[in-house]
Amino acid sequence: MQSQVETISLVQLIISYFMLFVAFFVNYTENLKLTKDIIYSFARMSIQLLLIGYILKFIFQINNAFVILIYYAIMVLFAANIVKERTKVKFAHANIIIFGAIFIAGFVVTLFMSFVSIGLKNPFEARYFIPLAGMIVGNSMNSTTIAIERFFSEMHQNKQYIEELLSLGATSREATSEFKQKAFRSSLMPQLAGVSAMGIVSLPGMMTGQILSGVNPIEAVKYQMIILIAINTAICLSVYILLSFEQKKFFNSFTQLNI
Amino acid sequence: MFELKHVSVEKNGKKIIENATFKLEYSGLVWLKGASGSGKSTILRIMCALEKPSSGEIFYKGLSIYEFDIPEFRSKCIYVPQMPILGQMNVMDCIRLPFSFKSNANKIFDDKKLNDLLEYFELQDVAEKDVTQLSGGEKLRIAIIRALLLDPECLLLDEPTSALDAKMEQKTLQLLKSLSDKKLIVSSFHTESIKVFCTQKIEIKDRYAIAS
Repeated sequence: MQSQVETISLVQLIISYFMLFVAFFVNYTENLKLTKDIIYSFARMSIQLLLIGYILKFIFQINNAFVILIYYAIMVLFAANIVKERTKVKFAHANIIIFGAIFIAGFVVTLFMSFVSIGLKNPFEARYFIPLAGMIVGNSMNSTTIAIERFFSEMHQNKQYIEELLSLGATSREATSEFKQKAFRSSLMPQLAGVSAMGIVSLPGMMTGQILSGVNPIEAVKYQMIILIAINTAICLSVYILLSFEQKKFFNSFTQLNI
Repeated sequence: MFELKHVSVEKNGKKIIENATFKLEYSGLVWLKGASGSGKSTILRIMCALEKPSSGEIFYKGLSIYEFDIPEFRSKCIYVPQMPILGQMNVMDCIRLPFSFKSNANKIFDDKKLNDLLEYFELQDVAEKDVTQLSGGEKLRIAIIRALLLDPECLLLDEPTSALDAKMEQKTLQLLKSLSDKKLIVSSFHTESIKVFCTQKIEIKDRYAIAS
């Protein structure tokens, strides 16, 4: 990929922050009382991004598979933690199951993309692996959150119905399949809706970024198509792993509900 | 067929059933008698292995029920709750659903038997409806029909006549009586008219189950 992007000088960057005065002005005239929030959010964003910029620069320079994997694991750890906090559900080994589901799905799909779709000789090429895995993990995080929430609420609301099926000879898998389907569907729908609107309603971020850095739009489009397929695959895989393990947590070894 | 040995059930620190010990034959209509809240549903649920007793053992054909593959065991010993939910689907799909379970794979869906039962329970016109449109009594009868189609060795019924009118109550009792020649039916009833139909009585009084 050729780098034709205009570099932004520090002065230009600082001047760009002056755009925020519009927000402050609106905030003041409309009495929104959001001054602190605006300052806090943008200060936090600036520090986080600068920090990650330097970390990525360092990782790209050393370009070592082990370091990349550590970075990937930390990324998944944060994602899993966010899922746990957002869903506020408790089940045994929740941390390991959520982490494992996102980690495995993201890892397998990113490797496939790097090897097969892009044709890299070394799949642990930092400037490919990290941004691709990042997009995949981010999306898996959102989907697993939806899946967990939906599955838990369905299971709790339908306790008696599940027991009815169990008493007719259903296995735990058979008794919960309807609720797994519902959780699966609701976790996949947002991404599917987003995919259908792609190119018309929105220009995806990765494609925009590549076009801005001088990549031929057709090449950028191809990358975007692959990443969208990869994200969908990772979502399916992570939600599948997660629900398979989670479903078992609701039953004891005698196929009795323990909620 | 069934044997309960020193079975006790405790829930949230409260004793529900204490030291229940009784034997049931391979066939017959067993009346599980007791005031509401006396633990009748609990006895039926532990017999179907939906709950584990706090202590004691339950044997089915000489083996502890927990030695069986539990779904397989439940397909032989079906429990119908007092107020079944039946899910959100068409009545016919609901009746056919358990036939898709692995444990019921060897059972054949008998269309003629279904029609006969629908007619007997005066439910021919509800077959095409959605389960959510049914009344409590209709749902209960559909749940009983579904259980009968699965032809289990033992039926555990929780107040199967509670939501039925007098005529339907008598018809249900007569049907259960005739079926009990070949299978074991254990059921709680609120009506005293069961007296003439039942072959055995298990009465729960102050947490103790007394067989007679």
